[in-house]
Amino acid sequence: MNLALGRAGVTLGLAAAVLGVITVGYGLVRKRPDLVRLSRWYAVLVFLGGFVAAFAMERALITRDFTVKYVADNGSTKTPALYNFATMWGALQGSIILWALILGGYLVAVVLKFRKRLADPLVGWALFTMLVVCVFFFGLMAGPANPFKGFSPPVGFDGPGPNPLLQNNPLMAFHPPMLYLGYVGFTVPFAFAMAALITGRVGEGWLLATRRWTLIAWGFLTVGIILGSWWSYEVLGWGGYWAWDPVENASFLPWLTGTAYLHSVLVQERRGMLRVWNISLLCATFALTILGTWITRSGVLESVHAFTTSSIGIALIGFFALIVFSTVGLIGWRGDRLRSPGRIDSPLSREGAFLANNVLFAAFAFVILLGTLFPLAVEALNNDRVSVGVPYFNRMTMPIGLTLLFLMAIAPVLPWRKASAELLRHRLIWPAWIGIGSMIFAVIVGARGFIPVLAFGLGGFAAGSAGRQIALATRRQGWRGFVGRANGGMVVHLGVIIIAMAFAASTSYVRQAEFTLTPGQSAKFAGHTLVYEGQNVKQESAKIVDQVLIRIDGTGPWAPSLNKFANGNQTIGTPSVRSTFTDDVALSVIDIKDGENGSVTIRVTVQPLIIWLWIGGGVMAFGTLLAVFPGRRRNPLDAVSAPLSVEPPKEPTGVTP
Amino acid sequence: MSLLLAKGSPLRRWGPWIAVFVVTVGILSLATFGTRSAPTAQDRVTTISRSVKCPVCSGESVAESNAPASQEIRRQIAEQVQQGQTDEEIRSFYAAKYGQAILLTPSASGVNALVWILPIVAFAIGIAALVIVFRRWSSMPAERATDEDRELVDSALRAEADNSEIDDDPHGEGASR
Amino acid sequence: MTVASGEFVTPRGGSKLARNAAIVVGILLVGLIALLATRGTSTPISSRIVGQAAPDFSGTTLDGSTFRMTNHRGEWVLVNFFATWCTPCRLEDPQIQQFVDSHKSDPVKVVSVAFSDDASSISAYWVKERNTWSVISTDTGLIALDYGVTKVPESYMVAPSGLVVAGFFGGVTASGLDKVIAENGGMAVAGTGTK
Repeated sequence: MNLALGRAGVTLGLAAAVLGVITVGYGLVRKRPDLVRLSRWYAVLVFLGGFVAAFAMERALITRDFTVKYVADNGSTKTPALYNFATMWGALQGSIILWALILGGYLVAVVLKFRKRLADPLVGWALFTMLVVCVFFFGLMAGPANPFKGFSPPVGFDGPGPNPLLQNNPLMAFHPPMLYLGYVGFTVPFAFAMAALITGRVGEGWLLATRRWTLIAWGFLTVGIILGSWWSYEVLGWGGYWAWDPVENASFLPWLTGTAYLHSVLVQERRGMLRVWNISLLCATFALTILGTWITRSGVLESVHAFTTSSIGIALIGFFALIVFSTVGLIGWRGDRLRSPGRIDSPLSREGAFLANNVLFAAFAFVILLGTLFPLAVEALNNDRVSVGVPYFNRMTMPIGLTLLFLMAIAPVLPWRKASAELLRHRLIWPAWIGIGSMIFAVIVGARGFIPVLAFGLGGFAAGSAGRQIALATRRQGWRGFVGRANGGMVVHLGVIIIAMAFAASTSYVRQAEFTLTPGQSAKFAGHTLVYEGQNVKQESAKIVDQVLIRIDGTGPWAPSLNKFANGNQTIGTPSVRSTFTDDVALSVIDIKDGENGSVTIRVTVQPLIIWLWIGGGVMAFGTLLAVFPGRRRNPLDAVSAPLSVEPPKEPTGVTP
Repeated sequence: MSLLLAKGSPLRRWGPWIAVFVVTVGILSLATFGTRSAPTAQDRVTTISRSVKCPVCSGESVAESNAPASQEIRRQIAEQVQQGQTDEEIRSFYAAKYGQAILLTPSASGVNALVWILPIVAFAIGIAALVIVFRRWSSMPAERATDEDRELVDSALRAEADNSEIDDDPHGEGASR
Repeated sequence: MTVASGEFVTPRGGSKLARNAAIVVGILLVGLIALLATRGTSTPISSRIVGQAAPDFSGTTLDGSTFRMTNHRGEWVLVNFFATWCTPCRLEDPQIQQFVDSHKSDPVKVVSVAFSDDASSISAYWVKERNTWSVISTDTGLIALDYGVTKVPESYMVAPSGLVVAGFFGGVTASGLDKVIAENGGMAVAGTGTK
């Protein structure tokens, strides 16, 4: 029943997408608005298909219907309900269902939002593009990544359950959906960018219509990445929250280009410039989500996060090629005729700062892409093996990060068009003292090292600048000074600064050690005292948990453990972490010697300021919510730039053609 | 003296910033050269382990992974640190045994040097592009407002003031002004 | 001067920046896609031990005695890495038993080294399967590391001279083992086997 239902859903979605592409495409080319308007029905059918498929899979997972091969491979009667629900996105084929469901949802949302203009070719081409993307993902489900393969379970069959690493933490249920809401969300602005290129209408209206969609998708992507990092930290047990792992980098790349876009689109609004560059950024962001999906699922790069591989790799690379070549082709063909005639007067201006922002983010993305793909390139050229890991990424991204912090301090106080040194010196003096204050505080509590202390200083400087903007806005507008794009953006900046400083501290000041302790023995490390109390063995539904009880500075007892899973003979360690606002003490079990008074070997990792990473992430999410909230529309008569000496009008120049 | 501190004098305008600069240099010097405990043997093991890849894992370093092989390598590194070997010697030992790929940082020779050079090249290209683009912009004649333009703006502002009740953004596209 | 809100505008000064940039980017992307599309799945690092001297090691076997690699110079030694949780390892054991049985009176020794497994599982398994060759169950991972073993089953044939002559990945067969011995000199190159 589930099989039939699921297959019906996939078929419905695929058929609706294909027919939609044909109908709408024909209608657009032949100028038949009646056909183009049919897009709304196709959208509904695609969404229905995805919904039915997801419903069927969840039902199969929750009822442990082993006639579905995916459930037989990934589900189990011993797995608790929450994890069974989340297993839909725990392995490759099921995760495509989630992607298709969310894509269908966004499609319907676009149709609803633009329902009064469905016949407009711009909206028409955008929906056409989204339907093409739907064809791809539903096609994956119908072909190489079929989640609804049948299976005849022998009597008494029980599945192996999801990968034990995925059963350890409830974050498993939230991280992939958030990430996908972000990835898939970028399809909408991308579709409109393609439509703008095809129709030639890159006037501000349409790209601005999708601005909020981009912000929302970006917000989800941010939350998805932070949750993934938190989950890594909680589960893997070595104090690591970011390993510059290929899969992590894959999710970070579209975030970087998306952030660059969010900033440079402000220049387009204000000055009508950088149109083609913005379209390129949007298309690059979407292409990177597909490339990221390929990196994650093709198995070509080794990663802790690797999904199982299948022929899906070739399909994804093919789709990536289709996207980049159509985008590059369209931009090459149309781009020059769409460029705006404006200019940017001075590098020392808000526009100049946004341009610098874009160059830095582009460099950032380039470094990460290069580092991630470099082993592949070397292997292809030389047949040699080389690894590019954390030390490389940290070293290369550190100067970029510091420069970005500096830019974050300067840019919000810069006016449009032109700034003077006078203005800067006047507006930035208090933020500068806050930066100094933050450096002094850091040095007093013991921080040393040029780079981290510089990072704290720049962070304080940038925070002062953001705080200044918020203070000015609230003084003028009351509570409305917190909402709206600019103000929400300042709150997001604060979140980024918190994360940057926490990153600097936890990376530079991490300490690790191993201790072998007998019951009652204690050890001192990095300012903390650890006492081993004893062991505790628990039997749970899917595993046997052997806990080691440790007191940290008298608190606890904390219980890192070794879990032996019934299915598969794997032993997975679960760490235990004590988080305070100053530092995190992470414990993991290396070895447990048998016997009453057996000794245990534990690993201790002490990292400062970890909890501020998650707090910073929360601030970023909150800031995004504030930014999406409609702010008071600025009175057009308000002055926005520093006063310029106005040129007296000369004889009228000709109108540019 | 009073001249120096008169309103608008350079010292008064830039004094605070000079102070900021001096204090910053001072703190950073203290941070860089101030007393800091020398890295313990354990810290050295941690640092080296973070640059050696775990041979049986998917991309983790020996410091991060708890696989038996990683634990063994950490033990070996600890022994070698005990014996007084330098960080470089220990890394070369593993590179000789397992190949260059076991080190998480590519060497700076041969093809591998590209991974260090290309970002700098890309950044230089970015800066050069910015410089070229700004040059081109500054050589463009500045736009001058014509009387027609002023008329347009005036009538728009009048309309705005008259019809402040009309929602000039019915589709919720956002303020593009 | 008015700026059209987005209809086609002829390029200023004939600049074709977008087109040229698109061509450059397009070429780079062709290269990138060609690179990515031709990659196979990644393989982990393995040590390059075949052709090198076999690393010495010693360990305690199930019956309590000590096995030391250097004691067996002059014999053909098969060093077999396995685990009880590894299905292909269990599948290759009958082949190894057959190999052991066929060389009872030859200077041939087989030693299995447990990889990421615990002693109790191994002894239970050994007793159940009635395997008759030595197994070291207490390796902390050192031996596997020295031999560069990343996945099991993995085995190495060591000649009487102490050189590793062949590596077997994924499982051995008795005939395959015999073939390797024959290709590398057979029993003739073995000295009188020591215990």
